[in-house]
Amino acid sequence: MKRNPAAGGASWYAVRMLMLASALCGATSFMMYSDIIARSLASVLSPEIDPSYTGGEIAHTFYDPAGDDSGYGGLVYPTHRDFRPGSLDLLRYTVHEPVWGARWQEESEYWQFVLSFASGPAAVRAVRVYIDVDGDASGLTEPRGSGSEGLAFDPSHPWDYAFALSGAEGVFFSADGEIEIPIRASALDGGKTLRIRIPLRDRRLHFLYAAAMTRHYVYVAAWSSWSRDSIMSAGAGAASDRIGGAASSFTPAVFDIASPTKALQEEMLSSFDEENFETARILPIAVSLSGNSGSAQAGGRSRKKDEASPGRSGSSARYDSETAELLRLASIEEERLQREKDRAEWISVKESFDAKSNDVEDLVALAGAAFRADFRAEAEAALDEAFSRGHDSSPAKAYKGALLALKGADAPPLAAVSIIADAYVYLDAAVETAETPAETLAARLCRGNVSLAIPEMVFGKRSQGASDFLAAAAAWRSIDSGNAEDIARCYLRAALCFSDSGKEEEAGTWFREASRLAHESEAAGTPLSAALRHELAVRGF
Amino acid sequence: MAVTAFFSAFMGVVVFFFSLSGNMGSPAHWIYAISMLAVFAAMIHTRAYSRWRRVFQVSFALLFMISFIGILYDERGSMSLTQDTIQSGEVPFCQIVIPAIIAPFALTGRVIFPARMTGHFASVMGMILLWFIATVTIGRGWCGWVCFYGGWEEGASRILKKPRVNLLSRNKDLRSFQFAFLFFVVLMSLGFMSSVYCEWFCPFKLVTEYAEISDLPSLIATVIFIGLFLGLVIVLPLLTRKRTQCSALCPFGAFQSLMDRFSSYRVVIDVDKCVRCMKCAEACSFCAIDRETIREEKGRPELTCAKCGECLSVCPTGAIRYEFSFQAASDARIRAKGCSPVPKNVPSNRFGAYFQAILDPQYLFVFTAFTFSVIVSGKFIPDAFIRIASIAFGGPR
Repeated sequence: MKRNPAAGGASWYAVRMLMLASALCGATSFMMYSDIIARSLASVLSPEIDPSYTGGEIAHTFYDPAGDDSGYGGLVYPTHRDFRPGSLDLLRYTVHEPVWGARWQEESEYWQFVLSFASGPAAVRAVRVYIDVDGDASGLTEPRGSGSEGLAFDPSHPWDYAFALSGAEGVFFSADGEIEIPIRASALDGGKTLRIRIPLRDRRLHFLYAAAMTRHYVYVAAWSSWSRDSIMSAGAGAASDRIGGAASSFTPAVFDIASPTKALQEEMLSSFDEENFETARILPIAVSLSGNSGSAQAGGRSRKKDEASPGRSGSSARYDSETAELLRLASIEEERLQREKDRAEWISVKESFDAKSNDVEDLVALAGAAFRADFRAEAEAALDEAFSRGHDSSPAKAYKGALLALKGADAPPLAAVSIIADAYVYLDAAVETAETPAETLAARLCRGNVSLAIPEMVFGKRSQGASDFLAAAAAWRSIDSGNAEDIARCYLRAALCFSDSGKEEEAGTWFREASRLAHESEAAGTPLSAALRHELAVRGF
Repeated sequence: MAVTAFFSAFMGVVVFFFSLSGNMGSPAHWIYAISMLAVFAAMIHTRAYSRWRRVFQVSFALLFMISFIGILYDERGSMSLTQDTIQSGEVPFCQIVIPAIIAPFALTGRVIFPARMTGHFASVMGMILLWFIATVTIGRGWCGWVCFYGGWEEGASRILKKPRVNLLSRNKDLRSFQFAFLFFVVLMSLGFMSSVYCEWFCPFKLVTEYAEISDLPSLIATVIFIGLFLGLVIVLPLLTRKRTQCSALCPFGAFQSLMDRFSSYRVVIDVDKCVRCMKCAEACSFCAIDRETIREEKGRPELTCAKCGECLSVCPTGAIRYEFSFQAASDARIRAKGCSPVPKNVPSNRFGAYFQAILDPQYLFVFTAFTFSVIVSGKFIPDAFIRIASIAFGGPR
């Protein structure tokens, strides 16, 4: 056999060197950046789970304002320890399209609803959802039972079907009393989310597949097994088994209803007329379903609909982009001014700092000022000095962790992983040892910002980051409830964390809350920073 | 020795990154790191790739089961696939589903599996990226080196010294069946918009998670799972010394065989050195070498080769080796012209010889394949150690 003279030589080595490099570093580097690659790929491909597994296409997501769980405006939670702040605060109400022929499910025909709350547990809630399906005058305008919630519905939209949940157990029923099906809600995420599936096996319910426009009355009360209709009654003062803050015996015992604004909710729940013995009347929210025969009515609309964000209505795309650009330019100026302010503060703290002082708190304050002004070496030196003197307060650990994380950002990838892991030792300890709201704030903000900055697939910290920012927002509220700027910023960052971790609906809630604060501040003549408004504007809020 | 040290040092970095970093204080992670480095060094030093690969894969399959089931109990309190898990789209995604989801995704933009898209060790995007990079590097070597299920058959096939049933003459039929089954699974998944393989045929449900038995179909599915596990994963490998599930039923295996043309390495048979003893054909666990493969001087195993290295270790003349794909293709073209490929120059000095040794495709393939072994096992094996220790000695994990 002849030999081929063309093989071998410099190219032989060059190609093999390339193979060596790719073998030694290729797979490792690829997996290191797989988070960024996965997110980029996901944004291009936009993959989603076939909705028949997870509840069907989303027909409508209604975002209810956060912090409006005071009913008509003055209701107070019962004193029982199971009631936690926010456990009756409805944040989202999601209606799915009815599903048929679903695989891997107990019920292959069902209609799914999801209700999300600010906190758990689920066992304290009485949830009622009354639905007008046909849009005609048939149906009822009063809730089923003895009316212990103390409200009535819009006479132009009487309800035909409803479901009532007490804790996780419930029943689906029709206004004519012919249908009554026991249902069970799945309480997820520590009871913050309730997922309800209405079985549609009954042929009498099959017309729902063709339904186009529906209207929903959604409200949340406190559950009590001892009370009428399982709804806890309201009185002037709160007790273990009684809601407090009722203005009269006609005050609806309802903490939250699905309503676009808190003001509208309070108006509806205060609309009772004691003299004429009229209960408060509430309006429904409209939910359009695609409907097999109703597609013409829903035509031209996206199948996945969110309630329009407040900032979007009436704005043209051009106006939006121009506004975003103006805000971006203003935010650059703001950033420059903030940098100057931080540097001035650092110089002032440094000048007033007595190096011989034994007060380690001063050292931590110095480190904090240096950290904010981006003098990392000085901040680290001050913290090391504080630690060497046996000081280990929560803020010191938080700053140390954040500084380590910043070092990690500048380090080569392999070293960065180790440095970030070390940073979390400090950041976690800072959160665990925080005692005062101010300490909680510093610790949660430091950890949250690090969690938002590092690659999600390598570290998987975005969910933790989101809860840190929400906890920081709560801390801000307890320190200074009027500080809309910082609270909104926490909401915005929580939303970004949720968005990165694939929880788009959660993200939507907190984008909307940040946007709501921005609009309220603007209406009050004290607009929030341009940077924040720019962040919201580019996301369409 | 120098080559062993060179590659082991780099493997140390890989082990550090994918397991030790962030767990420096954990004895379980250190045990894992040291064990993996020892196995890798032994592999490179002795060149008995297949023996050490086998040790890893069998251990990994057992420890993966312990860790995975433990994680399921932590997350949902049971090994059973609950309605909540499905409805929340949190079913762990495994590579076997990949061929079934591609066509429905291409047509509808939807993934017909209720798993997380990103941000989880068993998310869809995470597994697809891992599959992609594995495909362009080691190709079907995934099955021979990385698959966390393969170790079950690997272990069962090594219990008896000699096969009680010789499948050599049925190799082609098994391969044909596997491709036909892949076609069936893809078609059915598209038709029902559901992963039919997971629903009805996956034998590894028995060692990972299973659906709740709530009605007659789920009872039938469970009987099928148990039957397939016992038949294809335990009994047949035991009798035939072949990985029968991997060779006959696994749709991912068939899919990966088709994708292997994009991989960087392949196994080649030097027909000039081959003495046609057929030891490679008998040793091949994946039914990828037939008598005809040798007789017809094809110069490489059949499409389903998983690059496990069994044939390399039994070849008495060293005629089988790992080669770069581009080199194998170039050599094949040269042979087709009636020429013989030029053998590489042998450098006269020690450094040159060392330099050439570290560029040898066999080391580079083994390094790459073992890197994937570490990437996939880096979290599960230490976790299994911790779980075993907590059961054996008590106390919190």
